[in-house]
Amino acid sequence: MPDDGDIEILLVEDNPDDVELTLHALKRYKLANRIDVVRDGEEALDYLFGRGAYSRRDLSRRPRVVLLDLKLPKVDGLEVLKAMKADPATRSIPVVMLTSSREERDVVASYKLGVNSFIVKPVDFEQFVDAVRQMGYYWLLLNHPPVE
Amino acid sequence: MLYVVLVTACAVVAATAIGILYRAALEAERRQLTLTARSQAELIAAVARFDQMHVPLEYPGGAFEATLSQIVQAYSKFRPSDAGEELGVGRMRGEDVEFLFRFDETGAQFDGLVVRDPGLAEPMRAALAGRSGTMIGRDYRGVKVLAAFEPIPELNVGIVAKVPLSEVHGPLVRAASAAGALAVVLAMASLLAVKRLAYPIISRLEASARQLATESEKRQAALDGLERNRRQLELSLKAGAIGSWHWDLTTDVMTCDARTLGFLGLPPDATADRRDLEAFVHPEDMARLAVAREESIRTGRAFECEVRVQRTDGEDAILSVHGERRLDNEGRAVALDGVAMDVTRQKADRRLLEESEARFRSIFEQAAVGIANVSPEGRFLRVNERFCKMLGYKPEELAERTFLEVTHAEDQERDAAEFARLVAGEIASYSIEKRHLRKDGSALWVDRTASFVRAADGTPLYSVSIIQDISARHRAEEEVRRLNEELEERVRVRTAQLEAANKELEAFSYSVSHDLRAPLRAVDGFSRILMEDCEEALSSEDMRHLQAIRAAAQRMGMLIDDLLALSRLGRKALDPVEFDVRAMIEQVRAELERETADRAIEFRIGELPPMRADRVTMRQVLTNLIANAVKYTRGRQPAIIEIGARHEDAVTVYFIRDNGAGFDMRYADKLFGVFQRLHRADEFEGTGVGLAIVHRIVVRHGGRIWAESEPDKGATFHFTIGDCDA
Repeated sequence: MPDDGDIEILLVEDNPDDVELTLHALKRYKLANRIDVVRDGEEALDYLFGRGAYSRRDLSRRPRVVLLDLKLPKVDGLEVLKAMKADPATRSIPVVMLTSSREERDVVASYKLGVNSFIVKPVDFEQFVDAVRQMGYYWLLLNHPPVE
Repeated sequence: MLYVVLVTACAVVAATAIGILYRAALEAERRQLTLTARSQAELIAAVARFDQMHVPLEYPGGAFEATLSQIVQAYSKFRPSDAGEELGVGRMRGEDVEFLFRFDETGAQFDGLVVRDPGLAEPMRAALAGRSGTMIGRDYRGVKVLAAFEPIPELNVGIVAKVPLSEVHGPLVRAASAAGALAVVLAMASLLAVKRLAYPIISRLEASARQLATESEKRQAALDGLERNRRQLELSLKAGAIGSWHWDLTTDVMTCDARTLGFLGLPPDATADRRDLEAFVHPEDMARLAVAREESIRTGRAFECEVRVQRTDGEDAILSVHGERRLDNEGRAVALDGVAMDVTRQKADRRLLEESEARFRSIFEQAAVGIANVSPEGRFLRVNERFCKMLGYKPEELAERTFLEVTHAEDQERDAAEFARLVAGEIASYSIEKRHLRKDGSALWVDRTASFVRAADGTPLYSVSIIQDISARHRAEEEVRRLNEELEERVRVRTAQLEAANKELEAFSYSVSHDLRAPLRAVDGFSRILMEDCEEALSSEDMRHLQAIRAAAQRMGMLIDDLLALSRLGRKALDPVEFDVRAMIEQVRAELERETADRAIEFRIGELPPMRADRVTMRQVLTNLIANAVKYTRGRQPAIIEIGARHEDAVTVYFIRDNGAGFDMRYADKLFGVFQRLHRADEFEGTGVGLAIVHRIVVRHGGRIWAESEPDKGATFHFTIGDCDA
């Protein structure tokens, strides 16, 4: 059993339908035991840097991967990404961008902000496995075999 | 007593002898001078008449100068003449006499000597008063001279040939002195030697012999002078192509020299009497000639007459004839002497010149453009009416101005520089667009073309300028410039608007792709969850409904994708390169492998010239057209897809033909419209955007696309690619 406190995935997504579909896809295959969800860019930054509502969060417990939607209220995905890559504490966390079209993916890639992978929504099992494989993070899958 | 008688007798005898000799010498000298003066006067007059008729208009100084220069040239080559003899040609300047040149044994002088004292230069004054003859009078130096004088009315000059009187009577005075002395001595000696009567007789004989010798020498000198003059005259006649003739009135025999005969086309040795010669003259001119001749014989005035003659070769010629009577000692006219010149060519030339001048004058005055002659210093010499009207000046007002004075200040430098180069001969002509200043101060745009007229020796004479009013054109150009500026401003504004609209559209597209998709994802996603999680609880009918919901959602996603692709095409910049069409078609076929793998499709690919176009979008065109062909031949056994190219009016037309379902040409106009479909979705799937995309790409390449089809007989799509580099 993994440590309860270990966050495996941080999902940054504002659309509740997409959140539910994503969680459904990932949990159905028991891919992750713990997924934290934040609903906009500001909240994502607070979470990652221990600010605001998350000021008492233990920052040493970092997500193993961030699924980051591109278009978010308040602070958009690109800005969140920029902030993460600018801070040594969060720079090494792999980021998978969630986009609604291939065109959006091209836009993000053009910023050269060190995105590790892309998933065109809706997030389904196959795409997620592909993304993880691209990142070379097999351990994310292997360390935590689906728990029956 | 005897002594007185002897001295007196001797003196009388000596004085008488000397007197006779003196008169004889004086008469000989007088004749020679008269001959010289007359012949030279006649020669100069002949040359002058000739020049007046034939010297070109532009000769500097005109015919007078031409004549003068010829005569001066002629004289400067000859060395005259008897010691002390001098020839002078002069004219009146007011009350004074001006010598044009003088000519003595030292050579010719052209000092323009002016004699003011009315008591001096008496012979020249006589000649200039129109008189002809000889006199003893004071010359311009105040020396007493024997002079012959002749007027030359043609030139308003006179000619004087003279010798100092001292030269004439010098030897005689010496002789007289000697004779006087001898008389005294003889008288004295006679007292002592009366018996030697013979002595005075011997002395007288000796004196006579000496005097005879002197006279003989003088005669010989006169003959030499005559010969020289004859040769000079002959040379002048030859140089001037002047023929001479002589008509003896007493015998009615007329003799002509070879040149005069030549004017009539007769050989030099021809003999012709007066009647023969007169037969050459045009009948209408004969009477005039006769009248002039008779009057000249009667009055002694030289006659001059131009007559038409018909030459022996049948050609018409015009001769200028002039002549003068000759009198015998009793004052009867015995002969006519004269010269003749063939002036046919000169007459014709002159007529041509006059015609051409008249023509030019009419062009000059009536031209619809301004014409101005300008001196090398820039002064207006001559302007036409049109030019005056353009500038609002009168011709005489312009004559007081230079062209720069009526040129706009800003254009003066440019025009002056070009004009200087023109005068210097660096350029043959120039054109300039410039502003003239009208009399009222307003500016007038003109186009001025100037060239330059020079004398035969290159001396700049005047420029000819053609001036055209181009103010209307300038106004039009100004208007065009203003409109262009306006247009550019409008284009700029419109471009900015379009750019703004494009940005908006981009934002809209982004929004569509992101936000419109979200609900579709939810519809599809939750339907899928339902199908996956509740498979056992749902009936097969429920499952089919859920599947329909999912298909509809996915189809809408595709529609959105295609629509976005289409809108992106409008903005994407084309990058034309040359590429191999066949290779691209092979790639497209490979991509369509999945759809074609289990089909029997025969591809027939013909000759395809390389294409110059944007690779990415052209690949989209080929993909869509080939995919369409594959799709609409579904069910054909075998499906045949033919791809090729042909040349039509120097343009390459590519085509893709299939033997598929085809379509009804009645709906051909809808074929390339967005979301337009000619088949039902249950027959052939599709969004109705593919051909719209193809159409847009081809049009953006400057090309054209069209199709031919019949239901169930297949379809052919043709397209061309224009010059997409522009």
